[in-house]
Amino acid sequence: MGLDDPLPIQYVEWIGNFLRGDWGVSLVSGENIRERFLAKMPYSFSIGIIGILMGAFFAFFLGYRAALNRSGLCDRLTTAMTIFCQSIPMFIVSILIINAFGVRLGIASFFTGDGRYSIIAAILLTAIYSLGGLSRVVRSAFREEMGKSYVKFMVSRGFEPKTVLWKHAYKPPLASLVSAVITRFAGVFGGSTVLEFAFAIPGLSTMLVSAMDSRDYSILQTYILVVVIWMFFVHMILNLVLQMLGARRDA
Amino acid sequence: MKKRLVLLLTGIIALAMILAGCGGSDNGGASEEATADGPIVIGCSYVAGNTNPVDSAWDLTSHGISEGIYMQDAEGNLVSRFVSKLERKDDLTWKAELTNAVKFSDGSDCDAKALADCMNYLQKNNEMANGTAGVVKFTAEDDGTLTIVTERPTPVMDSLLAEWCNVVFKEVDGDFIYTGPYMVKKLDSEVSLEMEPNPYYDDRAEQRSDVTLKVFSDAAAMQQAFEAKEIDLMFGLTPEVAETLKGEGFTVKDFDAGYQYFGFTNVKKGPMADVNVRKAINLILNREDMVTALKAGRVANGIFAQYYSFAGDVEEKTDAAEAAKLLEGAGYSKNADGIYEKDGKKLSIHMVTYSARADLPILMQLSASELTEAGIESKTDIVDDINASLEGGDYDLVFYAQHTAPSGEPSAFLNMALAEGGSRNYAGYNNDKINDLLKKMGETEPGADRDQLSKDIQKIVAEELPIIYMVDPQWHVALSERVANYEPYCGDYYTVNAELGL
Repeated sequence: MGLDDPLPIQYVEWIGNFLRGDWGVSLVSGENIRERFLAKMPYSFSIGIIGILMGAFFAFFLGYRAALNRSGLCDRLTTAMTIFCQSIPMFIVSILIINAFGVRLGIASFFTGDGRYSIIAAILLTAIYSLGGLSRVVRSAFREEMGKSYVKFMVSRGFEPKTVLWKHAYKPPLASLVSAVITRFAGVFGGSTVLEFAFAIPGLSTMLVSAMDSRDYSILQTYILVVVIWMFFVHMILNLVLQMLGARRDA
Repeated sequence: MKKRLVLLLTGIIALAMILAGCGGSDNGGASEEATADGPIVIGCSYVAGNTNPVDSAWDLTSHGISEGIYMQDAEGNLVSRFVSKLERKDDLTWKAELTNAVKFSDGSDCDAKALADCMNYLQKNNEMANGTAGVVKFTAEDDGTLTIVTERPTPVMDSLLAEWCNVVFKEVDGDFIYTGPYMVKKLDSEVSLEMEPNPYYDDRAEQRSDVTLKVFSDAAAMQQAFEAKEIDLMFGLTPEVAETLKGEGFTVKDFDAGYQYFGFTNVKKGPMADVNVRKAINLILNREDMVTALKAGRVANGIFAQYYSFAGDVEEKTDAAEAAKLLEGAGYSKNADGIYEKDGKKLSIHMVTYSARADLPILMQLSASELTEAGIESKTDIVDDINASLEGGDYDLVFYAQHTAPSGEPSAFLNMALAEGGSRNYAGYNNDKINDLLKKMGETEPGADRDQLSKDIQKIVAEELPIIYMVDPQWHVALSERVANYEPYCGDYYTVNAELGL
């Protein structure tokens, strides 16, 4: 079995098997790890990717509006959302949502049924908790552009600031947003533990915590490699986007 | 440029949506809600990883899918649907006459040959099955008679046949089928298990509903699901949650856990190696307060649940003055801060427990405050792997929970925890009197004499204190109106029993 080989050789062999599709079996249940990952990945993917992209999408518009009108409604709203997300843990909001819609009003079944309510709630919460911080990043970037001479020049020529920003100054804020989103994508695998626990969603985070609890090293090892590969592709795709936006990235 | 960006973004979202769609349309298998005519949904913290009897025998019996040849009833007696008469022929040989009334869930008869085949398979493939009497050989003499030959003598064959690893099964085309009241409909490992009634279990199969076990990693989420009426039964309630649900008008029952809460003392090293310190600590701990904190249960009178005939008859008392005398006798005196010390070193007890059994940290914190009040410092730790802590020896007192008589007899646990080399005798406790009594117990047939031996051992333990008795607990279960009559028993060994929903 090669168990007496040096650890680096064992690891290289394991990676070789991994790349050929043989991810091994769980040390605890004996189940095929690849099958388990593939069964649970859609839950974590849908929560993570859709939530973050939805958050980023709305963050761009909110940040844009906040930059246009300093201390205006959108500016205050994004500040309030940032403080809210930093001060109130996600699990409390999750419990409140379940309590309101599931227990009190009884209009949503979060734990049984087809699971749509729990997934939708988890996606929305991911989006909302991304929205505050990302919108402030966009706002700052737009404000920075507003101070630049090409924007000042166009405004002095009689163009509306909102038109100038939207049509000619969107790339740097968008690049800032993409850069901020990259780090958040690291949490797509295993980063939604709170939501998966609160809504009893059988995603990768639940599996990861369970594997840690039972010292299932074969699952943990697989998880680490999957995250490395995932982040490699995230960086590759989003760096492509950054290049399209003309933003320079050294890393 | 904008078009390309929009295209890329749309592509990523579409990919995410497709992947999300691949996740199936249900919420981890619990696809039907807890309605009056739907399945009974049970909230729990685990389901079997697979249906293999070697890997998952304990889980499958707990879920109501598999059965042992003998099982415990609600009073702790061993009963069997398979065996009508069990007779010892000589030291190593037993003869079992079968009822021939049991069928597998595919309708086939569970005769002597089927029993012999599955038991011999387990003897070969699960070393746990060899623990009590060595390798045991089962031979079908005819359809209704089984001869059992053990490698080592045992006076308690019914208990051996009640051990959790000895479940009755049959392999058909690579699938395992069982004889319990329910059979597997759909298993999603670590997520949910859907079951349907076994039509061949008894004549009440048609009255039973489908049952879904739904795993919750978070107790708060399970509570919310119960309050939202999405689940019918909720196990593993903490005392606080049980009280909250009772206050909200839900049906919450307390039932005998069978498990015992007790402390392993470190008799090998540290302050607890001194028997007087152990006795002093034992006198300081207030068991009544423990029961009050857990909101159910009884003060332990030994190491077994009190409904067993072999339970102890020890009376635990709290006496701070006597404890102080014992500590002074052990050379400790109080310093200016009111803390006991000896040779300038403070008396400090390192207490350790684990969070998987939510009641134990409560007991540990309570004990810590009682020790502080008595002038003894304490350090508390909650660890993930308590057995590693016990094996490592870095503790003075470990708060532990275990079902001490899962096969309905006392010698297995007593040997494990007190005999030299026992797998739970972490501190290497060794007492000649107890060794003699254990030896006698191994030769005595079940009955009053054997029960007395068990009581005698528990009495010596209460004097020597390698184990400190604490609480004979009752656990809480919350039930919806639909299953309000359900009476669980034997802790989590039989989470689903044949009476569910009837």
